[in-house]
Amino acid sequence: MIIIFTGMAIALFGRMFLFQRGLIKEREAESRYPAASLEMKNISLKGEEITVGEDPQLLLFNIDSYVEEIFLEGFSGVDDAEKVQVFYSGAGETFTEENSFYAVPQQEKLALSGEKIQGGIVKLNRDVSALRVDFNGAAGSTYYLSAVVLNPVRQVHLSPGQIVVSLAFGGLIGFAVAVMISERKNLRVYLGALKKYRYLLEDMVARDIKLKYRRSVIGFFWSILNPLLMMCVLTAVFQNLFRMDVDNFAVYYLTGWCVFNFVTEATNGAMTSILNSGALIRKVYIPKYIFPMQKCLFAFVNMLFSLAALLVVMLVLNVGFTFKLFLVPLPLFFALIFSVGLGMLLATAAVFFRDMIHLYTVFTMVWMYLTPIIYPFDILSGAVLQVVKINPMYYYVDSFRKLVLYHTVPDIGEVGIMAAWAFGSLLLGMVVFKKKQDRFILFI
Amino acid sequence: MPAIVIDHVTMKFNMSRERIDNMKEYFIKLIKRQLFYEEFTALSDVSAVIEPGEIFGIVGLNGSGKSTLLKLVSGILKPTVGHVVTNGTISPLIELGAGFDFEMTARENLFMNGSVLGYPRDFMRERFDEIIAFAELKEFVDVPLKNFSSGMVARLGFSIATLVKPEILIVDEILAVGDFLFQQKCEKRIQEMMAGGTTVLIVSHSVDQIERLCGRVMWLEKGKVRMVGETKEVCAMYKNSTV
Repeated sequence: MIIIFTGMAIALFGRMFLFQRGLIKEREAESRYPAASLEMKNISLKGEEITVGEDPQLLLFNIDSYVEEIFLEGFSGVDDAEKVQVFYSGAGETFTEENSFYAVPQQEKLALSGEKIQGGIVKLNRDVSALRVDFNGAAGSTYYLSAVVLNPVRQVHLSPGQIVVSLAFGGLIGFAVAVMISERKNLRVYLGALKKYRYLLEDMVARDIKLKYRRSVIGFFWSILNPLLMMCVLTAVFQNLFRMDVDNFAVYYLTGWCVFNFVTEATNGAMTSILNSGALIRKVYIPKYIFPMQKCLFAFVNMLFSLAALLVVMLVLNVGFTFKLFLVPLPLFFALIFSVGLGMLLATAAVFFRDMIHLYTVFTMVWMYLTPIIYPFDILSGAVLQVVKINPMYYYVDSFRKLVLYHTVPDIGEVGIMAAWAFGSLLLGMVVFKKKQDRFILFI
Repeated sequence: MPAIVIDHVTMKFNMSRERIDNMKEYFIKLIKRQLFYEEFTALSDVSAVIEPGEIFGIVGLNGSGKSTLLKLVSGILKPTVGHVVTNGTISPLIELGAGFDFEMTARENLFMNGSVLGYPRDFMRERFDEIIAFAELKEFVDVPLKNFSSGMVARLGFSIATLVKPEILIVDEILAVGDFLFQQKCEKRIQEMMAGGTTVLIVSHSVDQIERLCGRVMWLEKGKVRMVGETKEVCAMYKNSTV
């Protein structure tokens, strides 16, 4: 009990600390204020188009929040875009020349809207209560303001939801530690058994691979070819028919597919593994967790083959390689742990309740649509967005994609969420599986 | 420390006529109140302590729970009530060649079966020639098992299972594997093991065999212990009752 509370406390304060240091950021595009939403903050903005009259046109925004960075983007109908100036001020201050910056014209010319303007990213790191944008162009010139981006708006206080999540996270870790301490003797026995039976695990995975490609002419190349062909079809469909606006859709899709397909293949295999190994379980004593683990590892090996396909596509489409690719095993490893836990849970359920197998098929389909694999994350909003943010698959897919496609590193918060889901699922799976495993043999 | 302790063990199975596998059936049965299926007690309150080096026999008619007891000792089944404690490595000669895949060759199956029994791979590699020689399958090492005769499969299984000298040997019927020459080899090997201080648990229908080999015998009847004691007494009583 004490350990659980300690875990909760550590998680809560840890999160607060990281929050204050700005190491965790809000993962949404909500720190981006579209011009339209600023309008709701008592700012009158007629459309997004500003035409300069006799006097310079002014726009005034109330912000009232901590701003780390700021920039502005839009278009100008004329070439003298430099005459857009942005002022910012804290509470009780006046707008001064020092606290301002100019929107800089971009090189690219836009066919319709003239010149694209962008106020360079300015580091503020201060409270801003008001923002003023001056359009000083000649009379009659037109500007289109698409967004004022305050990025990121750092929250200093945690919301109740985040506190609950932190407490649950810490409690879970505390619980895991407590279980491990109280069960340390059993744990040693289990690890010993795992060591003894690791050859069996290896052999069974090797046999699965052999059996999968037996008698097919090009053998395991199917594992590489299959995702490639799928990718071609989906890329053609989504880029031409649906006009999905994602850069590098092929890689975007393939990264998502690799991770998602791995988890579903692993959990599906694990779910039926106990039922399918009935013959063996009835004859000899083998630690039963070997079977779900075997299927998860088998799926993992299959995914490694698919990664070869991904590598080919990355080369062809010139996505670029960075040292960040060395971090790729991290999300994949978490996904594996997650799959083992979920697989054990499903395997237990399937033994006593065969309908689980059919239910899970439907669930997987829903799961696929709730994971940004074929669509970009940005199109989500409202309730669906909240569901996707709970979905563990999103984090595995997203951090894998970040490393491979966007060359960025997932932040600590994301890693924490991935680890929590992975080990939470493993713990739950192990506890349930262990409790029920002696009765398996009576039902298979 | 005793080799095997069987402590007030009761084993129950569900004897539902049809198994309820899906939700529709479940609800129908629930409404019809047929959900509470009958329980079948395979063993009830069986206790025994077997000392190291002892050769312990179990006799009984069909369905008296002999094989269930062996499965409990080898850890395949867990008792509904009570405990089974074993000290030492167990080699169960209950099902030979568990996990044999008939699509794979004898060589692959040998390693597979070895790892099923929990032997390290290097160990199997060392003993590979010995096993194949004992099973007399030298020419067929790379032939898929589906092309084997049943005798050949059994020989391979037996050779792997008796590869190491275990501390506890569990035998369900002295095995009649292959032709009579091979049977002699098998019996000789089992007797070697018995002579070497291994604890042996034997189930057999043949009272003669039990009388010849065992020191103590347990007589099971319909899942209950009818008698435990010296071989002569128990076997005499058992013979009288069955005649």
